[in-house]
Amino acid sequence: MSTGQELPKVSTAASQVINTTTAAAAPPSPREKKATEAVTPSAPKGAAMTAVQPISLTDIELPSGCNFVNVNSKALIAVCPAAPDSIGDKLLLTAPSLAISLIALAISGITFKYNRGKDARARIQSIQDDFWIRKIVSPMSIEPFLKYIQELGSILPSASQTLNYVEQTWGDQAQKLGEFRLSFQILDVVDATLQAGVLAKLDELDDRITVYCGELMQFLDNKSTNVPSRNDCLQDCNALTIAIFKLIQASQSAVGKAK
Amino acid sequence: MSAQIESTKIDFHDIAGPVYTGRSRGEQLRENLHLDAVDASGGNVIVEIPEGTYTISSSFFLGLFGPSVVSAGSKDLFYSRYLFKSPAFLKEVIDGYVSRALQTRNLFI
Repeated sequence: MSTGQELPKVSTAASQVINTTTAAAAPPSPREKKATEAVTPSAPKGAAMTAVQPISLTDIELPSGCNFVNVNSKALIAVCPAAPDSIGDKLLLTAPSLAISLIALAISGITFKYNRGKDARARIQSIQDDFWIRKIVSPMSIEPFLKYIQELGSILPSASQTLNYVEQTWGDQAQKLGEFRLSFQILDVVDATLQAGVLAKLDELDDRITVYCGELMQFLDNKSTNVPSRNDCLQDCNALTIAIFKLIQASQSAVGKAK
Repeated sequence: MSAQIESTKIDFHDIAGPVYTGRSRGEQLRENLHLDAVDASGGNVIVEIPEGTYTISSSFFLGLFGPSVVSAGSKDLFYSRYLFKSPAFLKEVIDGYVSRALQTRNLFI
């Protein structure tokens, strides 16, 4: 370069100012002065002159993509595009926020699933427990059955009664238990397994009363057998009733729970 | 020439009693008596229940005759094929069992 001064190479920085002014320099030769005037506007006469070493723009080698954006008497401004970051650099910067976002997304998903399951369980419980059990099954089956069992102690015949009375009473109980069997079939709407369990227990109850009444009739008919125990029969009936209610209670407790 | 319909006889004398209970016992007896085949052939069944019989539980009766009642579809059709000879007090009880078998069939259909 004609000025004898090396300008720094333009780096990859976004912009860099290249100062072409030097504080102390030899007076320019006429040829240099002419070249400087081509770049620098002429100073007003009488002003203090600073020594400027003119350079040609063609002498400056800019990296590709860099351009001069301002050229004046004191400075050259070149702008270079920033070099793209590597994937590693980008990941390093974004990884924490990405991880937090993913965790938040996962928590949102789990919360959504939990709430949906909870709502579904509450809905099933509302339908099965609040409506079917309380409004339909209980008034139609459970409450009348409980009343019947409470009265069975006074209804069940004893050895002091006649054969005809026992026959009639057993017939009435058989009919009554048949009605309960029909009414408990509504449990199929709530839980088919519960219905089967309850009906099996009702069968056992029916059988127990039938056996007691049959043995009592046999005793009253020919006295050749022992008197059947009325208390044993009532205790067995109570135990079977409790078993029925436990089945219903277990079913209610399980409403809405995952099976 | 009309086809002769076979009749099957079920005598409760031959079944340990005089108190009859248990669905499984009734179902086992039904199997032993081949009542499904009898129903399929459309044959008649005579059921003799002796005077010395005291009680028959619904579970035993429905285990033994329940499928026949259901396949008959009505009391009249059932009684037209199954002739019961039983003590008077049992007739009413048995009739209740037959009604129940039909109600059970129809309750949720």
